[in-house]
Amino acid sequence: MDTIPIRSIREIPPEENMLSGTPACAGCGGLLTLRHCLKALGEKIVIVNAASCFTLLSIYPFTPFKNSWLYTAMACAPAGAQGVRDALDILIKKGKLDPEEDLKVVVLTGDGSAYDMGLSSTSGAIYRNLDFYYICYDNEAYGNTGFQQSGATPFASRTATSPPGGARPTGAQLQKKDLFEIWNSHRPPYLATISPAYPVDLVNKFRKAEQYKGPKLFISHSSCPPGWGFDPSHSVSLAKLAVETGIWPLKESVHGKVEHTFVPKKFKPVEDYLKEQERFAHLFKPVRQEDILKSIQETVNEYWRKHKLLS
Amino acid sequence: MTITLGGVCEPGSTLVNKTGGWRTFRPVFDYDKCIKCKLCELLCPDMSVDARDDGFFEFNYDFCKGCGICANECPKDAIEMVLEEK
Ligand SMILES: Cc1ncc(C[n+]2csc(CCOP(=O)(O)OP(=O)(O)O)c2C)c(N)n1
Ligand code: SF4
Ligand code: SF4
Ligand code: SF4
Ligand SMILES: [Mg+2]
Repeated sequence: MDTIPIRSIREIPPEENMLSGTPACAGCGGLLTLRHCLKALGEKIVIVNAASCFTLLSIYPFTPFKNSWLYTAMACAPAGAQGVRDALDILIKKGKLDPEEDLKVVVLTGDGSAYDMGLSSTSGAIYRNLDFYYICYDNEAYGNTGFQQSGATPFASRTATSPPGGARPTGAQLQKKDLFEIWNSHRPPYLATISPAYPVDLVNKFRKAEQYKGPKLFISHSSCPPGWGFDPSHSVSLAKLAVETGIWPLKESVHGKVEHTFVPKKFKPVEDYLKEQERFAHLFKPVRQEDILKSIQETVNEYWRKHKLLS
Repeated sequence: MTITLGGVCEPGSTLVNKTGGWRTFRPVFDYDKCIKCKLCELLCPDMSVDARDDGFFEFNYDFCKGCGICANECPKDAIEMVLEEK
């Protein structure tokens, strides 16, 4: 695929590699991001999935996909991908598979696997320079089991295991892990953050990634109506607000060198994003938790100052 | 439903699951306002907006879950969400 960036949504491949009838919730931002990723990746792929909401997409005897699908335990999708990659390579070597018919191996997991349980198997795969894609749809909690706190849950979010109230009015006490930096410390050939609200940016990142052999890693900020508590019609506008407020930076890294792919001309206040969601409602009522709101804004400002994109 | 041993999930077999039954509100186009920008089609998570030969789009109500993203994102307010009547 050529790497001249596309400019408009009209240049996004029209083919659908995932069909309708999936059991994902109405307005699932993760499903939308997956749809866009599969357009960019094309049909010749095999997906290796770890237990998550998206495991339910492909349950016997139904699948929305045109490609094959391997389901693994939460901790080991990248190990599964290694097995699939090795098998394909052996078939090619033995002359049993035409190299033209080779498949891209794509790991697809939630944040629970990517940030927590599968961190070590991913580290191993990147370390070994495994030729694969990783798509993490990050809905910032263990969604499928009822929205429990994960390493991706942002500070002050309500989750099933961080209910605000009593001695802990804040909700989640811990800061979201910086998975981008953790993965980037391995210096993979390609790494990017993406968003369901920026499909042109997403497609360009996949087009760029394709030229590299080795790990090509993507983290998508995936709006989740039931988990985050907002009307499903706002799934895209909320994902967009996350970028416009600076809480979800769109960026990429090539062999460890980071560039931002979109920098808002003027950052919107983070509050605009937070107040749209039930999971942050306790920060606004019954009493406004001013210090918490300030500290969230300050964390975002610090990030952009560190990158010299905010004075 | 009989499940055979060693069965295969045929590509796109979820098409038998008519998720349109989930809907509370149904999106409806106002073609007089539509500028054929394609955003509704691109931002539907459920592949339920189909292109027509004349450049306009139409909904596939067999699968549209009624999330309302298309209506919310349309720059011309050309999609209305109407209460389903059963
Ligand atoms: C080792 C292990 N622990 C717990 C589970 C139960 N489980 C299945 S899906 C899931 C949630 C996964 O969360 P995430 O990866 O963020 O994906 P999401 O459900 O949010 O899409 C959990 C905890 C499991 N399958 N395996
Ligand atoms: S719980 Fe969230 S991530 Fe899971 S299918 Fe529903 S909207 Fe998507
Ligand atoms: S988003 Fe609105 S204007 Fe654009 S094609 Fe759809 S209906 Fe028409
Ligand atoms: S309401 Fe939602 S599911 Fe239906 S066509 Fe619009 S975006 Fe797609
Ligand atoms: Mg999750």
